[in-house]
Formats: sequence, structure tokens, C-alpha cells
Amino acid sequence: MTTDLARLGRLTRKELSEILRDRRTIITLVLMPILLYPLLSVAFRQFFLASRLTPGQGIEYRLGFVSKDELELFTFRLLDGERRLNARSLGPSAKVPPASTAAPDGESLVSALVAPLEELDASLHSGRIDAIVRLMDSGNDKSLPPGPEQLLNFEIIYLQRSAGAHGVLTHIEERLAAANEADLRRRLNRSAIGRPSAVIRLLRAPVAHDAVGPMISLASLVPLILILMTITGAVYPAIDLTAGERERGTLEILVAAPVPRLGLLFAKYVTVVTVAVVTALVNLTAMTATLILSGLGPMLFGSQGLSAAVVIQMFGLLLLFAAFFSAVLLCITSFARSFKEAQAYLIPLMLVSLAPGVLGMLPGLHLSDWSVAPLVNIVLLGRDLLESRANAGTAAIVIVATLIYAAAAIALAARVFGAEGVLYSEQNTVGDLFRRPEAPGRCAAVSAALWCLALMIPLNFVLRGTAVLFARDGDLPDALRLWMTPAVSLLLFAALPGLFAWHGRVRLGSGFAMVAAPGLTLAGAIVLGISLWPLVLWPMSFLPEHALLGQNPEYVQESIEFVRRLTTPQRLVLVVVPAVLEEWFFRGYLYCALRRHLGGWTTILATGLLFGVAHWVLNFEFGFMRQLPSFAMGLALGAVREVSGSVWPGVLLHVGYNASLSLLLAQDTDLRITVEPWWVFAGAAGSALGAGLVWCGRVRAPDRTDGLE
Amino acid sequence: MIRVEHLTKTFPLPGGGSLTAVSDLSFTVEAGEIYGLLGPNGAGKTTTLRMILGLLQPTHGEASIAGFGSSQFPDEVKRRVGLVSASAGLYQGLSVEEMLLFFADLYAVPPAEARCEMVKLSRLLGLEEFLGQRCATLSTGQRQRVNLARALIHRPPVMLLDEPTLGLDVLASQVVTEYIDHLRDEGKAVILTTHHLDDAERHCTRFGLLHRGRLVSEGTLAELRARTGCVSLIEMFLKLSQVGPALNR
Repeated sequence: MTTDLARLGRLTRKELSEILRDRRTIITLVLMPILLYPLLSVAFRQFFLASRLTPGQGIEYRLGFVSKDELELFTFRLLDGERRLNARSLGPSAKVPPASTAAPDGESLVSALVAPLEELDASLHSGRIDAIVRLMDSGNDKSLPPGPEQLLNFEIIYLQRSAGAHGVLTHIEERLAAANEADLRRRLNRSAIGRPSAVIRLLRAPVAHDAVGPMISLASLVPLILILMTITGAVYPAIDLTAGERERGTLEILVAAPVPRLGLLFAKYVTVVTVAVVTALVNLTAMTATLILSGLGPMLFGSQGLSAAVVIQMFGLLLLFAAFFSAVLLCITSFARSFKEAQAYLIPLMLVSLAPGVLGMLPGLHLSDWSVAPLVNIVLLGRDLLESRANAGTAAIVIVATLIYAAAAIALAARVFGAEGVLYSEQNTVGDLFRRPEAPGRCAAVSAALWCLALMIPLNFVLRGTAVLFARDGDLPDALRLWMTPAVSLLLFAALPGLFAWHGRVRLGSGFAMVAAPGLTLAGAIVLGISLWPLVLWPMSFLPEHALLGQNPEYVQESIEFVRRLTTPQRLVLVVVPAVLEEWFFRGYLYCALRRHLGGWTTILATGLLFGVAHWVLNFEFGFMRQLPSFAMGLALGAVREVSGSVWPGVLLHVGYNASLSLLLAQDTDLRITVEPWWVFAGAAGSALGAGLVWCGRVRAPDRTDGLE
Repeated sequence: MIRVEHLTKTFPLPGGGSLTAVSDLSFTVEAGEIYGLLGPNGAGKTTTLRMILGLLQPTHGEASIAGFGSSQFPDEVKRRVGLVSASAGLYQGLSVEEMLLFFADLYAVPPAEARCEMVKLSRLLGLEEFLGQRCATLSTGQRQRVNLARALIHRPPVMLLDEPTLGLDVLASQVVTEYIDHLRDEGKAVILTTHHLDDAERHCTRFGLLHRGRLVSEGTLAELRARTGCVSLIEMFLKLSQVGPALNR
């Protein structure tokens, strides 16, 4: 094992050294970031300037005032500061021109809107003005009207992450400081001639905002650029290590060596991920340096700019993306016979990748709605990280979903890489990947099972999204909700695996473990089903309520209320159908595919984990903690499947468990089912009895589907 | 050492139908023998070698090396075989030394032994002065010698040589063919496919003549001459290309 790992390490080192010696890698890795980011910073600056320029007049900031008096008072002081700044720039001997409300040509201007506060607030959030300025109070005598010789406190209200607000703040503060400084000098130098004026103190009042304005979010452009650059870094090694090797004739001598193909692919995968990650690191460094040096950071990401923590989080995100996209790239390039062919395959992929990336930049998109959509979720998570408003739970969903997609892509790449059809046939096409096998198989391939699981995530997303179209005032009608869960389960856990099984010519009996189980085992499973719930739910009673409510407490509460509104038969439909169908997939199709390659314990653990993760990802509104029992149940169901060699005892156990829970949920009024101590003892006794019965009826053969035709 | 029994390979064709590249092929090669597998282009020589090595799954039949079936024990077979083919390339970014040691590592040869074998092979094949050079800078002849050294670095008892002199000039060809004799002297079982029939006549101990995937004649040169009435392999080859299976009549 250690020797194999060491050899795998040396194989990876060789792949890396060959790739890194290639000047094309170095160009992508070093030169492009060095050139790109300074150029982008110029483009960004131009964008900011252009968005504030008025023809022939210079930069224009837009301020809102609640009264004309406040506008005049404030702009008088502002223009005073403007004149003093201009005079200062001309040299010490320059004279300050007399006060005027009109700005000379080429000077910066502040345009004003006078309206009631509510209207100004709406204008601020819609981006029509950059800030609202209003008089708070006089710093001297509150009974006196504002005027000369007064200290006036003005409040400036702005959107915290608005780039325009950052510019207007700097603009105003510089001018007020200049005016105030001149005023101070005048007061200290009593010989100076001049009329005393009001001193303005500006109080910042940032406003957080969730809603995104009508503009495309520039903060989401940054992760998109980083992602595109990471893709660029990964493309060349992915092609070179697969299609390139085949073209040069080194792939054949490599697969002629006694090294497992999966090992060779793994070394190539690690190499592509490494180059992609190094590219991401170089790009992130170049981008951070550019943002700091150009001063664009605060303009893009608000006053806090780009913190070290955010940079580290962004790196983690790029690492995840590199792991995912490298798998996709290898999967496609493994199929190509030449460099040229691989490039032809990758161009559409790049375009397809660009679309969700650009979609992620559109305003009004929330990560929680798109957390399982490949690539869009990563762009949106990047945007949220940069804007310091990422949610840990949603981020975890993004990570898990992306890792599942990556695993599916790797599984497919393993099927394609070095396969004889790809190595030697000159006539194969992409369609060959989807060609049905000639002979029926006993079990599904692992790659097919993983792909089936991975496809469930976006399919679930689409199905639930479609159901929302029928919502009235944001709420789904109860009748629709009642049928939606079994219908979605039918499509996800029955139709989809059924389609895969048909395509892979998997026999229903062996591929889904649909074999008869001994009566004793079936009886044991029923006893387990109605006894296990106190043991599974008991630890949940120690969790705080907020942990059970997840990130969308209203949704969780409403869902529980919905279940309580249903009649008993309706509740049973709601829980029994999914239970049966989930077993069909998890302990049937998936278990058989994994069990062919893994040991019993490993398969129980793997399917149990995937069962829990699937529950969490497919019902992410409920949060992680609420899905913890699914992990435990996944292990129990896997153990029963292993012992019995059949899917049916698991079906009974699952139905019994779900039915017990739904009946109890209707009785209880709390958010969680109250588990009395004596229930735990009764549950333990019942579970021991059930497990005993299952064990007594166990089948000796490790997998009864072995000889099944 | 090498046993091929009723080996058949059929490739599916796009749009239905199939192509039988090798049909019911059987022969054996013992240690110290050089077996010339000869035939026109498309006769199925390369497909046969790939099936022997376990790179292609036979549709029917079986090939085995030292008793290990290529389909059942591909790694055991690969450990015992060195493959040289005209289409085999080199890692352009690696030096000759790195390339040879990398392949020795893939075949689990201990580093000290690998280095010792590399020195020996580079002396025999005249590679000493190129060891530190990147493979990208080598000439065609030098590359093929490196390929030969690469295939031999793990001291396999079986060598599969698929047109090893294709595209080489006379001098480079000479080095390779001389080394093939050396392999026989070392007691290795060798299968050689080549279009240089005069070379094959000189070096091979037995021949198998393939035509359209079928073994139409097999034996020593003397046996083939007696059976076909032809003096040289070239004559036999021409006759084979024209009349094919009629050769045995």
C-alpha cells in the first residue's frame, strides 16, 4: 500500500515536472496574470470614472437633500472647500477665488435632488443617488436656526458596499476638511479678513442592503475572472496529459506498464488540479496586489476592501473549483484522440461554463436559491465571500454538491481513460460513451451510480423550481405540496435509476437487490422500523432549537405545520412513498454498484454517508443538524441490506420509521418530537429484538445477488 | 513462454456491423525464439500483439505469457513483457535518464538495479552520451534506441517488437536488428512484426504469415519454402497478398 502510494507520488511528480517544463504552462501561469490584472484595473477605473462623468463637466456625484436650505448650506461649504483645494493645487501664492455656488469648468460637481426622506431612500437603494445628506442638529445652540458661526452635524447616509458611495464620501470629506481647515486658520489668525461661516461635521451612516441595484454586481465579476483564469491554467495540462499523450504515442507504453489505470488517471488528475491551483494562487496574488496598489479594493468591495481572511476563503473556493473542473476537463480530454480534437471539445465546454458564470453576475440572485447549480453556485459564493455576507450552511451545500459533481466526473473519466475504444479505435465518437453494453449486467457500474446521484441534485432543483411556478402569493397550495414530495421522489429515486439501469442493461433482480428475504428478517425489519426512532431522535433533543431550524426557520416551521394539517392517510402517503423509492435507489441500485468493488462495512459506511448527504443537499432548507438522523438511519439500513442481501427488509424498516415519525409529529406541538426517557429504553429493547431477528434470518452469502440472473 | 489460442478480435463499426481484425489465431513462442509475425498492412499483427499484452480484450480465445492469461492477470503479463512499437513516443520534457528511470519505477525495479541496468543498456545501445539530453532533442534513430532501452529496463523475458525499424535509416536499423539477435542470445521470447522481410529472414527462427486476420502459414523458413514453393519471404509475401488463403493449397 505504502509502496503503491509512493509510486503514485513519483508518477505525479513526473507528470508535474514535464508539464512545468513546458513554456506554454509558464505563460499561462505567470505572464497572463501579470499582464491581465493591471489592464483590468485600468478598465475598472475607466468604468467607475465613466459612470460618474457628465460631458464637459467632469465627475458628478449625486446627493439627496430633504430641504433646499440644507442643500444650500451644505453646498456652500462644499464649494468653499473645492476652491481652497484648487487654490492649494496651484501653489502657495495662489489666491482663493471668491465664494460662488457655480463650479468652474472641469471641476468636480455634486448634483442634488431635493425630496422627502422616503423618496430619497428609495432613490438611494435604486442607485439614482449616491448618498443622502441631512442636517442632524446644530452642535452649538439647538434653538438657533443653522447659520454662520455654527457647528453643524450633517449625517451622510450611503449604501455600505456601493462603489459610488465610497467615491462621494472621499470627495465630500476632502472638501469639507479643506474648508474646515481654512476656517480654523482664520480663527487662529484674527488679523485675517473674512466672514465667519458654519463648520460642518459629517457623520457617516452606512446602510446595509440585501437587494442589489439595477447594475450588474462588479464584486461577482472578480470571482468569475479568477474562475476563468483557473480554467485557463487547467486546460493545457488536461489536454497534454491525455489527448497529447495519445497523439505522441506515450499513452500506449504507459498503459502497457503494470500500473492500474485508475492510478495513472489519479496522477494526471492531481497534476491538473495542482497546476490549476497554482494558477489560481498566482492570479489571486496578482489580483490582490493590483487591488491594493490601485486602490480599487474599497471601490469594489466597500470600505473594508479586501481582507486577508476573504483572500484565504477565495483561495479555498478556487481549490474546490479546480478539483471540480479538472475532473470535468480530464473526462472530456480523455476521450479525444489528438490535441486538436480535445480543443474542439473544450471550446463548447468553455462557452457553456461562461454562461452560468455570467448568470451569477446578474443582480437579485441569491446563493441559497442556486446552491446546487454547478458553477453558478461557485460564482455566487465567491461574490458573497467578497462582500462578506456568505452563509456557512449554504457554503457547505455548495462544497458538498460540487464534490459530488467532481466525483461523478472522475468516475466517468476513469471509465474513458485508457479504454480500448478510446486508445485504438479511430472511429469512435462521443456517442460511444453513451452506448448501451451488449450483454446485460448483474450490477450497475460505479460511474453510472455516481452520475445518477449527481444528476439528482440539479433535477431536484429544477423540479422544485417548477413547482414554485404554481405558488399562490409565495405559498404552494397544500394539495400540490402533498403530491409534490412523492412525485419528486418518484422521478429522482425511481425513474432516474430506472433509466440508468435500462441504459446499462442492469438486471432488475440483481441490480436492485429485489430478491426475496426470509420472513424472520422481514419481521425483524418491521420491529426495527417502529423501534429505532427514539434512539435516533434522542440525541436531537440535546440540540438547541436554532440548530434544528437551520438557515430558513420560517420554511422549517411552515413545513412542520403543513404535515400537522394533513390527515393520517395523507401523511402516510407523504412518507411511505419516498421511503420505498429511496430504498430502491440507495440500498438497491447504489449499494449493488458499490458492493461489487468494496467490502461490506465500507459499502454500509459509503451508502450511509451518501444517504445522509443526499437528504441534506436535496432538502437544504432544513439545515445540516436536522438531517443528522438520516446519516444514522443510512447506516442502519445499510447494515440490514448487507445482512439480508435483499432490498425488501430495508423498505419495511424505512417505511416503519417514517410512518412512526409522521404519526408522532402530528401529536406533538413542539418543533421537535419529545422523546421521553422510557421511550429510549423501549426503543433500545425493540431495536435489539429487531436486530436479533434480522441476524437470525441472515443469509450466509455475502451478496445474494451474486448468482442472480 | 507465449501461448496464443484461438484468438479472435472483432471491432464494432459505427452504424452497425463489425470488423474481424484477428480470427482464430493460434501459435506458441518459446524462450530463445524470435517469431516473425508477418503480413500486409491490416493483417492483424498489431492487434494480436495488443491482445497478448492485455491492452485489448479478445472477443474469443486467450493469450498467455508464462502461464498467466492476459485477460485474467494483465499486470502479471505486463510485468513480463517489453513493448517496442514504431508509434511509441517519448516524454519530450524528460531527459533520457529520467525517462528510463521513470519506466523502471513503473515496473517496480529497485532504484539501484534500475540505474545499473540503465548504464548497461545505454552502453549496448550507444546511448551514453545522450543520457542527460531531453528526449525532444533526439533524432529518430536515437529515439528508437531509447524506446528499446525503455522496453528492456525491467529485464522482461518476453519482447514484443512491432515494426521496430520503421522509419529508421540503415545505420539505426542495424543497431536495432543487432540487438534483436542479442535478445535471442539472452534467451528471451521475441515476437517481431516487420515489413523488412530480408531482416526477418536473417533474424527470425520461425514465422507466422497473417492475412486478413488469419494465420495462413506457419513454420521455419525451410518449412515455408517447402510448403509454398517460394524461395524468399518477399515472394511468399507477394503471393500471400494476391492469393491469400490459397497459399496453403
